[in-house]
Amino acid sequence: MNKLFKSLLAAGCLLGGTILGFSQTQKENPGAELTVTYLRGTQKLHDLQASPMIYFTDYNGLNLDYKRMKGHNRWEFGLEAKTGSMRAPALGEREFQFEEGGGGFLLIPSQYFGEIRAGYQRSLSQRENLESYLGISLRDQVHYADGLAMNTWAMNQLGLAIRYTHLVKLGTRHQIIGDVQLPIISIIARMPYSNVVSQPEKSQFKTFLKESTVTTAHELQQPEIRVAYRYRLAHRSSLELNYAYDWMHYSKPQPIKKTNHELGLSWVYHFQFSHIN
Amino acid sequence: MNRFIKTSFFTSLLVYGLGLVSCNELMLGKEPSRIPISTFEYLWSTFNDHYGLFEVKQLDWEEIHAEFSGQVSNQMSDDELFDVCSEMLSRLNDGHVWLVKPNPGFRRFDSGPSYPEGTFDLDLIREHLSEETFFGPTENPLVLFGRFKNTNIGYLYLDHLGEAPGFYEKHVKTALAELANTDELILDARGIEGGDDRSAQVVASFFAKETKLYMKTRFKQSAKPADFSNWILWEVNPKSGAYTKPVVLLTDRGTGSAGETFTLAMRQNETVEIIGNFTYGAFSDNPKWELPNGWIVAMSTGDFRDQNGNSYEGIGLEPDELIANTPGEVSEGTDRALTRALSILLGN
Repeated sequence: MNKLFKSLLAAGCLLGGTILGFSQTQKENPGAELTVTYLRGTQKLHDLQASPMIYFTDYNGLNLDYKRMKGHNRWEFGLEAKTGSMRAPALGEREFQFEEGGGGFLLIPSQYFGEIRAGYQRSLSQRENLESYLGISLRDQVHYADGLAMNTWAMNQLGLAIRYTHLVKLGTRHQIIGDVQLPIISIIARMPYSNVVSQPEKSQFKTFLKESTVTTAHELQQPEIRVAYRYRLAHRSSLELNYAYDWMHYSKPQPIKKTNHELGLSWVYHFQFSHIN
Repeated sequence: MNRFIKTSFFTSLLVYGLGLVSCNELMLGKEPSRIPISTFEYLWSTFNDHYGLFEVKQLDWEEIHAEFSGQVSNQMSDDELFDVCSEMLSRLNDGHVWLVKPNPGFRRFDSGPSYPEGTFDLDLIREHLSEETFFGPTENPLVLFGRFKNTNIGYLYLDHLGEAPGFYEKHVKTALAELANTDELILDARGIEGGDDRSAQVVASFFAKETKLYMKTRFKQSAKPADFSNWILWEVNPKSGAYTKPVVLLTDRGTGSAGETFTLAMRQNETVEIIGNFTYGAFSDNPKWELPNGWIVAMSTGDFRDQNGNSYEGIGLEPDELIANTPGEVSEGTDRALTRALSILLGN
């Protein structure tokens, strides 16, 4: 036992010394990273334009993210796609027919949602174990569900947000990342008050987008926080576990409130290394 | 100590924050109660805020509330509540208003009038066509065309207008190219129960000689009474490959919704004469709303008028010549409206 303990201690010291020694002589920082994330979450939606009831969507999704870091600057581009079934727990499972004697169908609409984004951040501080960044994020989020209360339900939101990221390094392999976003101006398209999108010689999509309105923080609130733990697996790859939460409130044409709780498991590929002595 | 206070503070903040975000009522607002009185009031106020035809139908919705609200109690059964709600909605006399209750015990109530079925039979007409082409299933074609035997009169039938405008752009153009050398055409709108008003516009434009306004639509845009969007103007616009020879359009009470906006559009084309019965009389789009107890209700949120501002909701469009088939005649193989259309065209 004593021998095993001594061997482990020696191996630990050797490994620790090697890492420490290596980090003191030369550092290699990745200049870019590509992240693939599997997402699983729950959206809770209370949109009085569609229904007085709260709908839950348990969804799965995929996120792709490319980040470029150079000096004090970080650029980010990303894509996300998610889908899940919408259920109103208070109403249970409902089977409808179109007419007496007709075939029945369960009213469980599918929701498809996703986003495309681009962002820029500049470092506020870059210490050995702590980094913080402040910047902007431009993203378009689209939601579509066919059959919510037997109607089409859709929302499109192009928003510019302030984004702050805080990163704490715990040794060479562990990182804790915190991220906060707050939209400052958005162009938002929702189903109109009448719930009808119909214009001559125009596609419904075009007519829907034509209804977009510019809105700012006094009408649209959507704070978003994300915390992540990242473990460096190897020189070129890391694993990341993250949790994100966002809450949205918008009042036109009728109030909509929405929350998302989301877990993500990511694989990060680091590349374009630069040597720092 | 300082570190301990800091850690405790942030941990408490985190726990408080997690408690806050997991509270649905606080973050998402309250759901209405599902008891009968709440459901009835939600139904009434949804119509009060969104229904687009109170002015056209000259209805006092407050008065109707006063009449029916006293009949609702929280002790009543689902079926009893459905009966009261149906009775209230029947006052709208609107073919686009319906209420459904899910299984078990599915029920559907339609507010509009019901007319006899079987006043039109496509198979009866198909027997008289010498050449027939169709798109869609054999037994239920979406678009069908041909020529009447021993004549040079073409026939075009549309089952509905529910496909995207591009579908009709393609298939009606093909049909009219095939029928280009006929002298006249019978266009049968008796099967068109509804669809997309944009598709109706596309098909009608194939019969237009000039651009003409045929319809104005507007939609409720807030809960305020009579607060509507600006008028949306609908015009027929001549298309290449248009059929500008004499056309008889056949309509009946089964011609509804987009079938009626199509009829409005066809009325603007000079070469078109309308034979048959009145159309159904339900023009506006009818999105659906959900009630707190899970029932679904459909309602007209628009106000659809002809180019002169006349509304035909609940009335229907009158044909140039009224010939109303009866189910008995049709089951015996007689289609008087079609016979009259043929005689008019053969007399040309």
